[in-house]
Amino acid sequence: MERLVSGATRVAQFGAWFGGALLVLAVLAIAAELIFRNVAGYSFGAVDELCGYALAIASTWAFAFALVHRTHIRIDTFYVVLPRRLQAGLDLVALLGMIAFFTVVLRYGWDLVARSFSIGQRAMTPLRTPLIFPQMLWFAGLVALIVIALILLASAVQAMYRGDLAGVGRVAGSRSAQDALEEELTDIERLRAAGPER
Amino acid sequence: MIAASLALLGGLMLLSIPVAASLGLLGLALSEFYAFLPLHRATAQMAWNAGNDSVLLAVPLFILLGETLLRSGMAERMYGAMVPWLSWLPGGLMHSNIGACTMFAATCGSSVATAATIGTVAIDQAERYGYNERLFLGTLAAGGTLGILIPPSINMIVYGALTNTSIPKLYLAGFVPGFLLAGLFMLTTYIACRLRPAWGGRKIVTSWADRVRVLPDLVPPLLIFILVVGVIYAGWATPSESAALGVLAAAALAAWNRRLNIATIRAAIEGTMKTTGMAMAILTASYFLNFVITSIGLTRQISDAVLGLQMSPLVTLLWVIVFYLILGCVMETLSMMIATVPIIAPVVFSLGYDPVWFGILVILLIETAMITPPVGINLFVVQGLRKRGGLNDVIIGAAPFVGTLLVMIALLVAFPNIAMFLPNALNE
Repeated sequence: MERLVSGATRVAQFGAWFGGALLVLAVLAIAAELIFRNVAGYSFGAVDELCGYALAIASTWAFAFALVHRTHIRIDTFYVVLPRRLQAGLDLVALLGMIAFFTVVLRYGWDLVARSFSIGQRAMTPLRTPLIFPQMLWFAGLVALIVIALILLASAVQAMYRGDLAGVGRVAGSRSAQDALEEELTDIERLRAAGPER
Repeated sequence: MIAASLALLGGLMLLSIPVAASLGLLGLALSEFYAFLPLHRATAQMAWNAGNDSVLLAVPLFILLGETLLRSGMAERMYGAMVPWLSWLPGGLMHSNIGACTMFAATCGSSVATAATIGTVAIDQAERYGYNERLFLGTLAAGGTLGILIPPSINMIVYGALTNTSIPKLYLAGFVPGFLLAGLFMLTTYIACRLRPAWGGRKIVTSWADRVRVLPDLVPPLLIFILVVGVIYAGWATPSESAALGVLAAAALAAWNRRLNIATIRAAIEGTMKTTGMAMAILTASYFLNFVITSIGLTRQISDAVLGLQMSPLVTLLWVIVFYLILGCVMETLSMMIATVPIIAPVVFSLGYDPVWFGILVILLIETAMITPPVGINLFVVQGLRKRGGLNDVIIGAAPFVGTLLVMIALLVAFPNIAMFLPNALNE
C-alpha cells in the first residue's frame, strides 16, 4: 500500500510539473504575442485560445497535486475541537466528498470528450483546434485525480482499520494553514540562506 | 429552498468537507431536488468552461508572479530603502513595514505573498530596536493585507470574473482606498506610539544623503508596477497579459539578484500549482453551483426575500457587512469570496449600489477577515515567520488595525467617491 501511495504522489508530482510547464509556456507565449502585437501591430490570435487550454489542463492536474499535499481548503473550525478519532473519521468523509463530486465531473467529462471525438468537434476559432486533444489531457488530469484519491482513501481506511490515527492524518488529515505555511517558509529561508547576496 | 440550501452547505462545511466538494455537492443536491432538467450533466461542461475562461487565466499567473517575487530578492533592498524615508516617525521601522507592504502590494496581487515577503525581511528587527513586539507583528499582518487592495489583485480578478465587472475599473478604484488605508495604518501606529512612547523603540538616525543613496533600490518595484498595472491603462495589455509580463520581469529580477536557479523555479512552480489547484477546484464547483442556483431560481428567491424585508438599502448593506465580518472570522478568505459573492452581489446591485464600489468594499472586508481570529491567514503567516511565542501576540498586535479597517469601511460607505473618483474621472 505504501508503494501505491508513493507512486500516486509521484504521478501527482509529475502532473504538477507538466501543468506548471504549460503555465510557464503560456507566460512566454503571451508575452511574445503582446510584444509582437504592440511593436509589429499584427496579432496572431491563437495564443489566447491555446493559453485557455493550458489553464484547463493545468487546473485538473493541479487538483491532484493539491490533493496529495492536502491544500484543498477545509473549514476546520469545528474539526479542531473534536477528539482525534472523530477527526480521522471526518478525514475519510472529506476524501469521499472530493471523490463523489469529481466522479460526477469525470463521468460527464467522459461524455464531453467522447462527443468531441465522435463528431470531430473543432474550436470555433481561426485555428479550428480539434477539441479532442486539449480535452483528452484535461480529462487525464481528472482521471489522475480520482485514481489518486481512491488510493489515498484505501490507504487511509487501512490505517484506520489498524487504529493508526496518525497514519490517517498523514494521507487525508486537514492541514492547518499553519502547517502549510511553515513548510513554504522554511523552503524560502533555505533559499535565502543559500542565495548569494550581491 | 433557501433554508434547505443554507443548512446543507453549513452541514457539509462543518463536516470539514473541502470547500470545493461542498459547493459541488450542494449544486448536485439542489439540481436533484429542485431542477426539472438534468443539470448535473453540466458539471463537466462547467469545469471545462472555468478552465477555458480567459479572465481566470490571470489567477494562476498572478499566483506565479507572487511566488516568483517572494523568491526574487527584491524585498530586502526595497525594505532597506524604506527605512531612511519612514523610520524617523514615532514608531520607526513599523512605518517602514507598512510602507514596504504598500509598495510590494503594487507589484503583487496576493496578501499572503505580501505579508510573507515583507515579514521575512522585517521580522528580526523588532527585537534589535526594542519595539513593542506585538504592535510590530500587527503592522506586518495588517500591512500585508494591502496586497489585494492595491492593484494588481487576485481577489479583484476573481470578483470581476464572478460578477462580470471590469477588472481595469476595479484596479483604478483600488488605488485611492489602498493608499488611504496605508496612511491610516501608519496613523494608527503613530497614535499608538504617541500614547505609549516605549512601544516605539530606539530612534534610528538617518540623513538626506542616506535617503537619496537608497533611491535606486526603489526602481525594480516601480518598473514591475509599471509593467503590471501601467500597461493595462496604456491599452496595451489585458490583466492576464500584464501578469505574464510581471512574471517575466520578476524572473529577470531574480536572475539579476542571482536567485534564479532550478531549486527556485521548482519551488515557485510547485507553490503555484498547489494554490492553483485549490483555487480552480473551488471556482469549478462554484461555476456549476451558480449555474444550478440561477436555473432553479434560487438567486431570484434570495433577492426577493431580502427586498421583501423592506429594509432601506443602507440597512441591508450594513447587514451584508456584518455577515462578512462574522463569516470572515471562521472562513478562509478566497473560498469565502467565491462561495458568497455570486449570491450576495446581485442582491446588493439590485439595491442600486455600484458593482465596482461593492467590489472594493468586499476586498476591504476580506482584508479584515485576514487578520481576525480564529482563522486569519495573515496572522498565521506572521506567526509562522516568527517561530516562537504564541499566535495570541499577533492577534493582539493586529487588533488596532482591525479597528482601522472598520474605520476605512465606514469611510467608504459614507463617501463612495473614495473608490469611484478615479474610475469616474476616466469614464468622462
